[in-house]
Amino acid sequence: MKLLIVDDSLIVRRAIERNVAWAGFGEIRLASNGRRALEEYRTFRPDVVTMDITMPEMDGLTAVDAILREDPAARILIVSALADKSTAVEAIKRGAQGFLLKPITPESLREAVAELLEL
Amino acid sequence: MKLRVRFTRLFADGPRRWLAFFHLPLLCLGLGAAAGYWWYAGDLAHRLEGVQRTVAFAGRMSVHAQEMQTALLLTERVLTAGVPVGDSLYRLQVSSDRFNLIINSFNEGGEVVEPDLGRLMLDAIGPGPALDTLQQLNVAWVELKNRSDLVIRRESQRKLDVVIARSAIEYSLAQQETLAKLTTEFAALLEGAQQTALGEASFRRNFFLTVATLSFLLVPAVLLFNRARWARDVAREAAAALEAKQKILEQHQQALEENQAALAAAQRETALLMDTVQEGLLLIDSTGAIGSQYSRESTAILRQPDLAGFNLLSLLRPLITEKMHATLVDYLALLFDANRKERTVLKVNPLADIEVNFPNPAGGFITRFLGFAFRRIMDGDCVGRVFVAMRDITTKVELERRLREEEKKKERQFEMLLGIVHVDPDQLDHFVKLVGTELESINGALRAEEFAAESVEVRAQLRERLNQVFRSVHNIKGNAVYLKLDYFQKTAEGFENRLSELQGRTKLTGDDFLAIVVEQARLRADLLDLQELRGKLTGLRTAARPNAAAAGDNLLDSLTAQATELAEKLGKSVETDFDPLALAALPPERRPLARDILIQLVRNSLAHGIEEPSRRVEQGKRAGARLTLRCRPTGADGLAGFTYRDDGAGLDLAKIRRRAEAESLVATEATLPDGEMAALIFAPGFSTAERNDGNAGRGMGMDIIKHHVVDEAGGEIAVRSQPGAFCEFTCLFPSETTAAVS
Repeated sequence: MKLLIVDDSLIVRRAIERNVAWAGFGEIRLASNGRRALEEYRTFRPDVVTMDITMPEMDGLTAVDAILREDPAARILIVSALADKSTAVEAIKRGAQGFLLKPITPESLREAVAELLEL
Repeated sequence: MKLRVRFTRLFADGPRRWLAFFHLPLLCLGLGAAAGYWWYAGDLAHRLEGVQRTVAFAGRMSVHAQEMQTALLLTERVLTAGVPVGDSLYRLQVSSDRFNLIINSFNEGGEVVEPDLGRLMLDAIGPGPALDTLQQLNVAWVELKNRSDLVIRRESQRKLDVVIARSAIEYSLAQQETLAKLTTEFAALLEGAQQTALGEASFRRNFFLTVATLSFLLVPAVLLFNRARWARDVAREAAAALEAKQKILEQHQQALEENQAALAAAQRETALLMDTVQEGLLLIDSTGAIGSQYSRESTAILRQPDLAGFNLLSLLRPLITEKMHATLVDYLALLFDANRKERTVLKVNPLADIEVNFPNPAGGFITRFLGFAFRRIMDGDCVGRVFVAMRDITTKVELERRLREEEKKKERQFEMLLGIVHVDPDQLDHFVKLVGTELESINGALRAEEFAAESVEVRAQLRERLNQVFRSVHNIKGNAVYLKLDYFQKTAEGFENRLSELQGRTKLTGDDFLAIVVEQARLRADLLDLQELRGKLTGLRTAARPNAAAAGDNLLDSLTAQATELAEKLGKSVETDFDPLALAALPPERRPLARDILIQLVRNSLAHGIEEPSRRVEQGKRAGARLTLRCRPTGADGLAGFTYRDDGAGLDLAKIRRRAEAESLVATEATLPDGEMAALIFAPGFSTAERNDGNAGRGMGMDIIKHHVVDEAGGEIAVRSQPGAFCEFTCLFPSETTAAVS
C-alpha cells in the first residue's frame, strides 16, 4: 500500500507520516503543493492521498479535481485548517472521500485513514 | 364395490361418456325393440287372419253338412217324382267332397280351398280337446259320408231307390244336430287354442313395444335429467366457488380491517410520539420537500405552524446566509447521492450548528442556533428520503460561547496582568479613570434618539459626534501606548479603525453608530477587567510600594522611554531634556491631563516634526533630536502650565495650507497670517501625516489637546514654530481658584 501526503507545511507532513505507521504503508511520498501532488500521483499511483487545501501554486481542491480526472477511483482525504463548513461540503462534492479538520489528532487521523482504506 | 366405483367413474365424466355408454346403447336397444315390435306385430296380424280363416273353414263343415242334407232331400223328392236325379246328386257330391277335404285337412294337414274363402294350408290338429271333438266329428262324418257315397254309387249303377235315399236322409237329419253342434264346438275350441297362441305372440309384440317405448322415452328423459343434474352441479359449484370467494373476501376484509386498526393504532402512536418528542423530526425528499409526518417540536423550532408540503431549503433560505444556503443545496445533493458514502457525507454536515435569524415581529431579528442531524432512508439502491432531526441548541451554543469567552477573558486578563505589572499603580489609577471618563463621553455622544431626524444639521452633528468619539478613543490609545498596555492599545486601535472607516463615508446614519456601541462595549469590558485586576494587584503591591512623591518623575521617565522607543521604531534618534519640575506649577489634579497632552505632543513630534537623522545632518543639526520640557509658572493672567518644544522641522505652513484647502477648512484664494495658518492644526480632522499607523496621523492629536485644555479646562494653548528650527507648544491652565471663579 502506498500513501501520498500533500501539504505545504513540513511539520504537518511529518506529523501525518508519523501517525499512519500503524496502517503499514509500504511506501510514503510527500508533495508540497497541488501541482507536485498531481505529478507524483501519475507516477506513484498511491492507494490513499491526504490533501491540504491552502497551498501555493495549485490548491488542494483543484488538485482533487485534477487527480480524479486522472483516476476516478482515487481515494483522497482532505486535511485542512479551513473550518468553514462550506469548504468541507465542497471537498466532498468534488469527490474527496473524507474531510479532516486541522489540528489533527492521532485518533482522528487513524479513524479517517481507516475509513478510506475500507472503501 | 370396485365395480360400482368403476361404473360410477364411467359416467362421472360428463355428457360424452353418457352418450357413449348410455344414450347410444339405449338408442340401439330401442331401435332393436322397435324392429322386434314391427316383426311381431306383422306376425300377429298374419296369425290372426289365419285363425279367422281356419275358424271360417271349420264353420264351413256345418254349412256343407246342411247342403248335403238339402241335396239328399231334393234327391228324395226327385226320386219320388220319378224324375232323373242328376243335379241334386251333384250338389251332394260337391258338398261331401268339400266337407271331406276340410275334415281331412284338419286330421292330417293339407290345403283347403273354398270359392269364397280362398286357399289355406292347415296343420293337423294336435292333441287336446279340439282333437277329441274332431274324432267325434270324424265318427259322425264317416257314417254320413258312407250313406251319401252309397246314394251316389247306386245312382251311378242306376240302382238307386227311394229307400236308400230315405235312409240317408233319415241319418242325415238324425245327425244334423250332432254335426252342427260338434262343428260349432270344434270351431270354438280351435279358436280358443289359436287365441292362446295369439296371446303369446301378442305378449312378445307388447314386450318389444314396451322396451322400445321405454328406450325412446329414457334417452331424452335421462338426457334432460343429466342436463338438469349438470346444470344443478354447475350452479352448485359456482355457488360454492362464490361462497369460497366470499369467504376469502371476508377474510381479506377482516385482515384489512385488522390492518387498518393496527395502522390507525400505529398512526396514533406515531402522532403521540411526534407530538411529545422534544426534537424536531421530519422527512424530506430530494428536493427538500417536507413529508406529512413531522414532530410538533419541528414547528416550534422552525417557527412555522404547518410544515407539510413546505420545502426545508426554502424555509431556511431567509434565515441563513446566501453562502450557507448554497452549501446546503450542495449538501442535500450529496445526501441523496447514493454513490457517496453516508458516513463521509454525515461527517461534513454543515448544519450541525447553524445560526439562524428569525424575523422578530417586534422588529429586528431573533437569533437562534439550530442543530440538524441527517440520516438516509434507503429505497432499494436509491436514497428515498432523508430523515432530519433538529434541535434548538441556542442554550448549549451560548453556554459554550460563554465558556470560551470566559477562557478568553482569563487569557486576556493574564495578558493584561503581564501588561500592568510594570505600571505604577497611580498611573494605572489614572488610566482607569481616564478610560472611564472617555467612555462616558463616548456614551454621551452616542445617544441614539438624537439621530432620529435626518437633516443637514443632524448630519453635521453626527460627524461632530464621530469626531468627538474619535478624540476620546485616540486619547485612550495614546495613554495605553504610553503605559505599554498593549491590550488596550489593540482594542483602541480596532476601535479607531472602525471609526476611520465611518469617517470615510460620505453619508452617516444613526445605524452606523451601532458599530461604535459594540466597540465601546468591548472597551468597557476591558476596562472592567482592568479594574478587577487592579483591585487584586493593589493588595499585593501595597507593601512593596515606595512613597508616591516621585509620581511626576515617573511620568517624565515614562515619557522619555516612550519617546526613545517610538524614535527607534521610526528610525530616528531622540534625547529628552525634561525639567524634573516642569509640571510642578500645575495643580495635582491637572497632572493626568498634562501627561495625556505630553504623550500626544511627543508622539506628534516624532511622527511629524522631527526629520530623518540624515536630513538633520544635511541641515547641520545634530542627528539626535532634542525634546525639551520647561515649567511655565503662574503669570499675571493667573494661568500656569508648561512649554514643550522639539527641534524638528517646525510647522510646514505650506503643507498645512494644502491640507486645510483639501479639507475645505480654508478657501483656496484666502490669505491668512502665519499665526492663523498655524492654528489650523487645532481644527478637528486635520492631519498632515500621509501614513495612518499607530504612532500618529489619525488627525486628532491636536484637537484633543485643544478640546481638553481650552474647552474643558478653560485654559490656553499656543504654538510657536520656526521652519527648520523648532516647534513649541505652551499649555496653560487656570489655577484652582481662578477656575472656580470663572
